Amino acid sequence: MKIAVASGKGGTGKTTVSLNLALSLENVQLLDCDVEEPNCNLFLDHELEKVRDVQVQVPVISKERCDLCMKCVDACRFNALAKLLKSVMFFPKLCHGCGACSLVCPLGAIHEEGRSIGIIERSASSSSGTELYQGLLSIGEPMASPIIHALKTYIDDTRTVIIDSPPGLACPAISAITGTDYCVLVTEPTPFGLHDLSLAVELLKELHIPYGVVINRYGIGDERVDRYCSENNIPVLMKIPNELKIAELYSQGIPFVLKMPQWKANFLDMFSQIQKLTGRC
Amino acid sequence: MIICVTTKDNGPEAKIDPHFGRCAYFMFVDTDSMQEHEFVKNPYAAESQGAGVKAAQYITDHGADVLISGNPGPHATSVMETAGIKIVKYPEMSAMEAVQKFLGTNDL
Repeated sequence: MKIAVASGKGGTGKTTVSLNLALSLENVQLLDCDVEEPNCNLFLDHELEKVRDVQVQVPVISKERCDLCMKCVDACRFNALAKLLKSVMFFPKLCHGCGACSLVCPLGAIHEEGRSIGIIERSASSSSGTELYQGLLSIGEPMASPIIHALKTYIDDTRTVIIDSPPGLACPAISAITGTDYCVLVTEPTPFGLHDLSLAVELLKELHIPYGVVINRYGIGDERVDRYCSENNIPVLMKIPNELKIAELYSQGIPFVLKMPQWKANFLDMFSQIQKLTGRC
Repeated sequence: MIICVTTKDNGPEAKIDPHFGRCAYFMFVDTDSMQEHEFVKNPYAAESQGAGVKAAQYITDHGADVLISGNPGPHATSVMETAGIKIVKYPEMSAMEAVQKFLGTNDL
């Protein structure tokens, strides 16, 4: 089963929930899809090995063959090409690698070459129960989605897969969540938390992926997230209290189930709720 | 010489729009006949990405020699530099005053 852990608002506790859930279960694959700043391994401290580079295919335009007809410029939905008096200029960081330019070129003046934008890494040893895969987008690169797509090709369908999604609800988050069996939305009981939760819920309805909510730092803010969930029949899978001990462990890079083993039962209970809700195991 | 100014509005009181690629209007002034100036609504203001590249291509195609704007981004700047357009960065002020200021400080 593939479970995505997501949130609209950043900093609500996606990584906390992902890690503690992973460490409460056996034989789990954990994918850190927050490729702009993967942080699961700050808590796991696994030795990592590089699996591969991730490339996007970008056009190379032959100056000799190009007659400046502009068909490629017009075809580019991402405005990565501009035609000037004597040449076509290409902006690699705007290119999504769709290949339309080379398809429409009537003179065969465009061929494609791979451009590296980041890497995939994984736990070097699989002896520990949780196997981590993470993507790392190169500094200065704007497009996270190709890395996330590449990362998800390593999903092992025979295991429980937990996907720590990037924050927000734009392309990277959608890339991470798409194709999963269930989505855990982590929020906090504040007006901001509720606002972004309700946007995330709208997204998941569009994606037709079942979802439930974890309310983190429960006890701060107000009752509106509780009320929103009950009014909209959204299951609240777990409430994690706003407790000093949990914050201290977090600040030391320790997933709290390791030092507060009573919480393992809560995460296992959440997992069995998800199994029941999805009818999967 | 054709000067392009990015503007927030399309009237005589129009002020410089400090955004380049997502400005509201382009004002084109032909300095040979100072009377004529033309406002064009920026067709690329709502592009999901690469508005600067498109806008730079657009003013290049319109024959601009000088751009007066706020602070164009690196992609737009490289298009305009390649096209030989002079980029002038002025603070917010009236667009026509900006043209006068440019002409006053650049003996062309």
